[in-house]
Amino acid sequence: MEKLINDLKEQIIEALSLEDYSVEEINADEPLFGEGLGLDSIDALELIVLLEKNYGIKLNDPEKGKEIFKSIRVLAEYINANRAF
Amino acid sequence: MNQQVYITGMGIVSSIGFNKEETKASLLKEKTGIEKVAYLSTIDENLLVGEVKQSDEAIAKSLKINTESQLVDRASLLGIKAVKEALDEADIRDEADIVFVSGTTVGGMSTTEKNYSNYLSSDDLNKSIMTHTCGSSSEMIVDYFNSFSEIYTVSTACSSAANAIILGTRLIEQGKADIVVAGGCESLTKFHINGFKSLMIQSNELCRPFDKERKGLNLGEGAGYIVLESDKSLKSRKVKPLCRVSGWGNACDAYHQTAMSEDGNGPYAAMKEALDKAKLSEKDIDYINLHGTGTPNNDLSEGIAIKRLFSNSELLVSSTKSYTGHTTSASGGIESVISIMSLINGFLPANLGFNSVIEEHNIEPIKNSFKTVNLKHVMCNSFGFGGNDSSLIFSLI
Amino acid sequence: MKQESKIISYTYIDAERNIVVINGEKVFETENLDIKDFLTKVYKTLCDSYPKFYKMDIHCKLGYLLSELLLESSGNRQKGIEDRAIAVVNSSSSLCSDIKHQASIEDNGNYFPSPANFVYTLSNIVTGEIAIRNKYYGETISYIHSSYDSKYLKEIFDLSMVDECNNSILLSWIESIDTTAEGIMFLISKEEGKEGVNVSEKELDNIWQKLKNNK
Repeated sequence: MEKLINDLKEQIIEALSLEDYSVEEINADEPLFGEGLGLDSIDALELIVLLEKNYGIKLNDPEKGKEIFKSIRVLAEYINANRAF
Repeated sequence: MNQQVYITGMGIVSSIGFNKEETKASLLKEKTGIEKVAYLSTIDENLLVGEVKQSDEAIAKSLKINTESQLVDRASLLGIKAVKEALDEADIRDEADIVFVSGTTVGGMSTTEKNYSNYLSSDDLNKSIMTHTCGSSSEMIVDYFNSFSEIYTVSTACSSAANAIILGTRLIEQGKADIVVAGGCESLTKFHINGFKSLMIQSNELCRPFDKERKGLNLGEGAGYIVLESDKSLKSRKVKPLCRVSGWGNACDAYHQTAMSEDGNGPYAAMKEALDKAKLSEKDIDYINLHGTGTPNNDLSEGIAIKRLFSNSELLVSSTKSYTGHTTSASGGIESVISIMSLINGFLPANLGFNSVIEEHNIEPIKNSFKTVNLKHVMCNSFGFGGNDSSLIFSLI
Repeated sequence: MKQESKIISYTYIDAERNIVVINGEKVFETENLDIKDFLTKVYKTLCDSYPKFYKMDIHCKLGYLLSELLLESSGNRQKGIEDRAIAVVNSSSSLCSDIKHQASIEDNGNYFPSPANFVYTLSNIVTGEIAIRNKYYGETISYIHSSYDSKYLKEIFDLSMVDECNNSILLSWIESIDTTAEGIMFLISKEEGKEGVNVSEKELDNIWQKLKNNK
């Protein structure tokens, strides 16, 4: 789980161009959206692409993202339960 | 002294018709042009799009363009068709010094993507750029006619054609030009279909603008152009105008690249500016041709902006994207032509796919088309990514 | 009160030559950085923090930097106004993003178009970014033209400024393609009390020629 969380942090920094952040600076339990990383709806869509590309999980409803992208830990748990590879 | 800006001709091509007559007939029959993809080559056989129902070759042939000796992309072919109809109606044959203002975003992408893999292998980037840039699409249209002395190509995403009409209007208003042809053209490409798909705002059902259960938009293609003319030119050519452009406004939502603000500030400011420019009150507007894409976000924000600005409970609105699909950069041109046809012929198209109102603004669009109706002032909305919001008002003379 | 429109200030960036010029004066210079690294260096050295910068494509970064340096150095940011237009001209649109997007949809086995990248294929997105950053609610417009053309710039300037809604404008030529990224942005105002040179086709040409010849 911790390995997955770490991987996710790296992938998110890369996919969302969060160049001011390092893996250490991102708290796995903090909300991804709203304050904090300053992510917006386009970032949410990028995360959907990331899920499909890296874990084979296809989300057809962007609304679903709202639950899954609560925090990196929630996302990691979702991936563990649903990953295709 | 600002000049009045008259309209003397218009041309339209979309999935519901190759000209004004066919377009009007489809609107009154409440017949959508959105169907399963048939002309664009794609693996997604179930894709719903508003395609112009002719191949490039057939359109080229009808315009007497030899596609073997001349490289003309689909967007330009559609543009030429609509410009030709507009010039014919305005009875412009030999006049020179006409300014062409055209809106496009995808430009010659249809040609680029057909040849994309070849470009990569031949490493010939320059060739692809030749038809790719948005400017070249306008130049191809201009090259077909002998009338144009100046070209402006506007590229502001989905409000491109509306902004082209605003700029054309200003050219006449300021006495910088006597005749301007303004509007926009766009062809369907896998490039932007896949882009919209990645934004997850395309519906795999027929779009339902302003409906509570709307699930997104269907893309479309086509062209719409109008001939704008000064009073001086009307008199010297002895032609009668169809109507005039009385108001226009462009404002920035300054909120998000693709999403509209919850209060619809950009759309509100654009409509307000157009009313002010026309010296009209909100009560004077008889009909709004909505931007109405059918996405959850647009229809909510646009509706809220309308609710904030208009107190008139009799106000009639509909989105004709339920017929043509969202023709992106061309939409402001296509929908301006539809708005003007409605105004001068006295009819109004129904908003297809509507069942129940969006509770936040409670706006009920036209359910059944009006075959006869008296209209004086109509508004046409066009909003684009980048928060670029435009609104036009057309008025009887 | 209004007066004849004046060029208050201008910024110029040539990322290929690694230089930044404000009002004719070279204010920043490095050597041998590629255009992306150079633009990041300019951002980090001369601009306030705005993490969204990293998400932008080259075309948009260039326009964003021109606007930031221009508004900051001239002391004319005036956040939240409605009467400042933004007009941008370019030739190749956002070709770098176009190529990236096309590549992402070309291969069925590796089909992952990026929504963020797609957005930047729209050449007017830069006007939106500048408007969002400064909360400018006025007119935004983007044109396609073959090259820097002072006559054309003056014409589109007139087209925006004839409108009584607009009292000042950010007028810009931005071009990025492959290994080049070059742009200029003018702040022009008709508000009374603003100092600067009167706008004319000749002045717009003079400024550009000086920048180009100053190697």
